[in-house]
Amino acid sequence: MTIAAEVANALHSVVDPELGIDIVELGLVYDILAEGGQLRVSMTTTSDQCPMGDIMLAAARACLASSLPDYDVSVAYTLVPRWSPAMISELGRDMLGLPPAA
Amino acid sequence: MTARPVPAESPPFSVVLPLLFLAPIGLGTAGLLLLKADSDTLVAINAPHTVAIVHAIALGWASTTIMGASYQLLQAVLGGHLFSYWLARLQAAVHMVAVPLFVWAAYRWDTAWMALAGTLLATSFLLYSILAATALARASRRGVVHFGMALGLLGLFVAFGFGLTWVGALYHLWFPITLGLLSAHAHLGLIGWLGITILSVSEQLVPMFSLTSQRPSRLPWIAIALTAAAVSLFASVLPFQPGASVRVLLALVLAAGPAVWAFGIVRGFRRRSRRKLDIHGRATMAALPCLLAAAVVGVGAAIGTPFTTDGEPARWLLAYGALLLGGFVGATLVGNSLKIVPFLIWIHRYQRLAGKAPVPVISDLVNVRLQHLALGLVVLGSYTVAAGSLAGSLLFIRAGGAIFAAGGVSLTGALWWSLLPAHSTRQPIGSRKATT
Repeated sequence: MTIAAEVANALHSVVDPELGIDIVELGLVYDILAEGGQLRVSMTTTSDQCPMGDIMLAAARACLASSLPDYDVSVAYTLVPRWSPAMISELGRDMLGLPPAA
Repeated sequence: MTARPVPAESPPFSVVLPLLFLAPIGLGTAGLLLLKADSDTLVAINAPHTVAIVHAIALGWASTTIMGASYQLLQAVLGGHLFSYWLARLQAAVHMVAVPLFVWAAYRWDTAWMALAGTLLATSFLLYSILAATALARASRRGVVHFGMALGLLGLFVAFGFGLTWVGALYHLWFPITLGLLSAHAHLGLIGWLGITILSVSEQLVPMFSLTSQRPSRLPWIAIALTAAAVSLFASVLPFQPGASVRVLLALVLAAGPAVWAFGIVRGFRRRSRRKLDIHGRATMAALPCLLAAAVVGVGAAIGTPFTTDGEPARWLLAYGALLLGGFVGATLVGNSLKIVPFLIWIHRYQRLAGKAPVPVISDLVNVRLQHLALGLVVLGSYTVAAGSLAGSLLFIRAGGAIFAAGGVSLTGALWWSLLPAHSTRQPIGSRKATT
């Protein structure tokens, strides 16, 4: 399993409590970069004023720190690119009642 | 681009939740008082028990909810810190004493007690205004919500100034309180304070909960500025008892801002990603027809004759109030309270566990049936009171009161339900995926 897959797998357990969908399926996790013992992940929120932003970042950090203890984990917040519903996975779209992406 | 997420800086539980938990008592009280509606109700809008009912809803339920929600929103979303949690708790305590005292005094039409309760209310509003104004001044995130909340605060200040003056005039007989003066106060309170605050807060909550990608738009700014300008004009002209044509013109101007707002909300809502409506989405959809109906009935009330020449001139005004205050404001507040309270409880209980252990999601903390029952009863109650008022049927008005009272009980139950231990802990969908 690649490191990106391991990270994604771990982050499936970080769930947006309002939507009940994890941050990977919501398309909030952008970049995953592992170099040496460093693991850098960038993620976003569904809105730049989402009151859960800080909480979700802290949850992702805690989750990765416990799942991948060999790495020095940093999770950065970004608004580039802006999140859009097109980033939601098929499973997430189904949970929200959205039709499958074309 | 350097970006920071909104920091998790909610005020303490004890600042926000007592206001949100106790507010529905105002709705229940209003419902019980409506059960005692008599023929005076249809004759005079300033009949003592009508004044008591309106203030039980406007001050007891709506203002209390908005104060609690504002403390949360100002700090957690706009980044404006409350400078004293102790003062916020004191404000809530004074408010909780002042409102029932005022409602009781108004029901008995005891002007001395009304003046005393008014003084306590003045203390509550002054403390709230100081806290909210300083938080708004310190806010790090400014935009239409900030603008609207500032205007709403100004509306509260002016509405209360009018109200306290009217109570003083009743007690000291300075001048007669005409229907025009009463309407000016009522509209400043209903639209200048409650309405504008709700319109602006909805600009934050509706896109956030319905998962709508926000595009920059001037519509919300126009809607809120127009509403504020219109209610100022309305309150300035109405005390001079203008004729029907001026009243109708003012009513149409007053309806223009909310109409622009509603257009923007519906347009955004159609683009939402959360297609399965939650309680907030349903409440928003239920509130909009009430707003439309209130606008239509409000124009009818402004026309006056021939609608009000049957010896029961208060009928259209009552129906207008029921649709605007009970229906539009009520449905919106039900939706907002039922989202904010479980959210705060989730943060309080599970924020620190998130990412470390499986935690319930917010839907695990709520009773969806009870939530929908509360929303349905509040909306049905407002339509029933409005229909009873238009038809001159005390039976319907009392039935509406019983429905409102049941709505107050359901809403209280739905809010308190969130305090119960969470009923299920779902496996996140990704975990299921990972194990298959």
